[in-house]
Amino acid sequence: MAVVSKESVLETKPVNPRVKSMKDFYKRLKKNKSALVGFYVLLFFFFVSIFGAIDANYGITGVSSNATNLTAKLQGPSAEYWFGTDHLGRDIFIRILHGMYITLGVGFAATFLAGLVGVPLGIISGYFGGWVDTVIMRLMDILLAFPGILLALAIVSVLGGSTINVTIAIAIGAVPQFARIVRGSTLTTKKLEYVDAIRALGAKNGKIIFQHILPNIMSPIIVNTTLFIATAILSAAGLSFLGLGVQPPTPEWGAMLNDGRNYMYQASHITFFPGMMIVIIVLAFNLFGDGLRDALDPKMKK
Amino acid sequence: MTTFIIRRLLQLIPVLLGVTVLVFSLMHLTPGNPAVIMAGESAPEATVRAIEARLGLNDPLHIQYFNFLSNALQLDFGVSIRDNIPVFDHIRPRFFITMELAIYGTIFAVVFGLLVGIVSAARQYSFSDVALMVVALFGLSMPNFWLGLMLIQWFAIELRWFAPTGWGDPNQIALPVIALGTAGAAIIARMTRSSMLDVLSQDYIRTARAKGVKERIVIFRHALKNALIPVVTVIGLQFGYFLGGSILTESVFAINGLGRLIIDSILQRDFPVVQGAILVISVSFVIVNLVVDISYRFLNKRVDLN
Amino acid sequence: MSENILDIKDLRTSFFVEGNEIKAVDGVTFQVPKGKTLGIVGESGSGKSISALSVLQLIDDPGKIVGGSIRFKDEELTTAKTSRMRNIRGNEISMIFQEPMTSLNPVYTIGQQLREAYKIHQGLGKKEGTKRSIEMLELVGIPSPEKRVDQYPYELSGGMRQRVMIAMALACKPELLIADEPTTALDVTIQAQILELIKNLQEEIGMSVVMITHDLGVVAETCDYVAVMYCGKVVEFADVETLFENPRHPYTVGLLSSLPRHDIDQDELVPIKGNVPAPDEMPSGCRFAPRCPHASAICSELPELETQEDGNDVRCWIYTEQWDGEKGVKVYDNETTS
Repeated sequence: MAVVSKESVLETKPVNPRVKSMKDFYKRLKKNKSALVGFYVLLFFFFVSIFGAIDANYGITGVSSNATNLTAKLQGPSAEYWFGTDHLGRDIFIRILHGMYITLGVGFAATFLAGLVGVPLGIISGYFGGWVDTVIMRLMDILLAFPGILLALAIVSVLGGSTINVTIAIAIGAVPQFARIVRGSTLTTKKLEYVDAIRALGAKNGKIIFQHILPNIMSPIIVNTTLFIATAILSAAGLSFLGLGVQPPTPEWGAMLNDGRNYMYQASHITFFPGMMIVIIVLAFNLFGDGLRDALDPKMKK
Repeated sequence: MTTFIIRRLLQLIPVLLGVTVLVFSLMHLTPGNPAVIMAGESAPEATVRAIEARLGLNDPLHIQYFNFLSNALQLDFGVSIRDNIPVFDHIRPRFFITMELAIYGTIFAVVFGLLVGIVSAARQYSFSDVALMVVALFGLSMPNFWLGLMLIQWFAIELRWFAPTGWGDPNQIALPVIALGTAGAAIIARMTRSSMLDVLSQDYIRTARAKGVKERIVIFRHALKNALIPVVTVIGLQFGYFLGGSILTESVFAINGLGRLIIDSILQRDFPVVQGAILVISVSFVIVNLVVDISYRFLNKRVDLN
Repeated sequence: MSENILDIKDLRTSFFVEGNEIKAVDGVTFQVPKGKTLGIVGESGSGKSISALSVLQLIDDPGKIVGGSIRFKDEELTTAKTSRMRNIRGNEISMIFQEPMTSLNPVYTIGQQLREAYKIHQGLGKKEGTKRSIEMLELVGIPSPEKRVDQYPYELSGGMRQRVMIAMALACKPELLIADEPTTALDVTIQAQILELIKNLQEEIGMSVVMITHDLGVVAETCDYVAVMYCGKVVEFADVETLFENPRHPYTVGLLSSLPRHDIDQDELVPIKGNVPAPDEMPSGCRFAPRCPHASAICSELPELETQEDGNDVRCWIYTEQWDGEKGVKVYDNETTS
């Protein structure tokens, strides 16, 4: 709640949400401790998930995520089984490790796909306006009429549950969100005077979009991409938890939670650990995304 | 204002039509012949044909869609493949349960969200602000189904304060409402905080202080009323999302709402029920959004018109 | 009881941003004689608004009063209790702000906002408060006030809103009114009306006024004394005639020369060269030295605000014994070039 009178000394700082240089951006990001924590946690998990993916397929640790051991079922956390074992005696820690790349992968892939479709739609809608805008935005409204996980659920019920189908379903649900945000930023940028000046000079639409609009709307795209990965991870886990997403015995975390819910009275750790991991990863994305927003858009910062 | 409402209502028509087209085609793209499922795998060919004819499955697609649409407008969503009971009879009692859950969830989210947001903004950068915002970030990052499972674990299984499943008794309501409402509370808290901070830096707040108004009254009378205007939108959206989000909560707590009906029907390939339930949820969501939009416009009139 | 209603000495207000201290007000000293109008002039960022806000202790985080004294009727305000400050605000000292468009709360009616002042300071109820509000609105020249009290700010024009602000500020008949660029955001014709209004009400109530402005025209019209501020410091303090007739500080001279004048024939306006230094590039000596046409070696040290033989103050080495630059430098020529 700074005193911001018209002549406040605080206002001498330039306000420009455009990504000017990576160095400048990193400098601002570095000041935000929680964003850095989020970033390092994500970096750590990224490498862990690569290791997990390799291990799941080539068996470096020599423990399979699906190796059942009925003599050691429903065991609590111990030195041998860090996160305990499930109802089939599978090592939950190993399963979480091997499933991490699925969680991250679905999150990234769904967001990437959604951006791939949603960003151009938003730019076209915002830049050209008129009936194109109306048609695209009405279509987006139709997709947005299904709250939360419902659209993805309906799509998965048609396509059938699998990692790829879950990714596609979540991506479709996210397209309108990207389109809306990008449309809004495009409209604001389009109204800037220098864009008018460039157009008056006879620049082609393509050139204006790629050289002048796109760089200006990168900040909201980057921020929302980060935050959307968090949502995508939650949705994917939700679908699998309902038994409609990634199918067992794939060690997907949501599916593991679904396995564990029947054994809550005997072994609560089966549901605790996969969920905790989801919380940590989603939290890291949210922290990082919040920090990015502050670093990329000084207007938002107080 | 009236023109605005009329325009918004007109805009609704293509969206609602689009929703019905989407729902209709989704169900027609689903693999599996409904007639075969109804008759049973081993039923004679003739029975299957008869059912197909009765359901109008042999008509051209656009005729089928038109019939679907005109029936849906009369709240007739056909009959369940499973038990031949009209879909609407399946939906109605469950709709009210889901609504109840979403309403309680919204109340929970609004009460806690506003409280946390206001305290945080009033003491920006204090210990309580930072702590509350960390908690809010956790709330935002938690899958509601996992939170539900953990609540059952702690409060139903270990402490035995509440019933682990079901809906209706007071001791059954608390846990699902918390599980469903926490993320919304977190979102509302963050929104309220940033909106309050924004308002607190406005000129008219300085005017109020210069008048000698007590800080408490500055916050609750002068700032809050302005800060709530954008928060209204978020609250409305949350209610909408709770209608969709309750699918997971209902599954965790074994509540017989619309969400659970959808899941069960998907697993049993009971298309008419899935179709009807999804349609009911999205139409309610669209209507909620419309109401929010109009009320936001109404609240914002005084602020925006300059 | 001294003859000055407000006496500010060596006031320092700083903003603490990311570990840096930005000295917005850096040792400001001035007095407001009872019943008179003091103008505070300066460019944006000179610290004039922050000085005014400091008086009422309305400086918010990350700003803080770090030193000096503010005496109002011989009462020290920098150490006053919050409850005492609240009592003073809007009652003994009132303030009106630059932006009438945003200074009124959009979700309450004019009447509700006016009534609040009466309720806080005089304990008036709704009925009596409304009556007084209508009287006050009438006093500031708002037509059909009984209708206006039930309107929202968005239904009023900028000039009308500023009148409402004035009505609100004067509701409790304060002894001191601080007007922070009250006319900057208004149309020229409205400006004159508002200034006239403040002047008339000042006589009626017998209050003192601090008029903050960057417009020397406003100063000439309304003020008895003037404090010229530059980069958080007062560089010249004089009565209004002396200031216009015989300005001493090169910055004041610069301000006057950059102003179009009607009384003499002028070929061109002379702008002050250069820009106000950024907070992190503030010179340690005289703040104005980098832009001063007369700057000399000694100007790398900070001059004091010293009283001259006519009782006015100036912060410049030229008027001291130590001056090492051109002797008898003629800083201002009233009959400039024709």
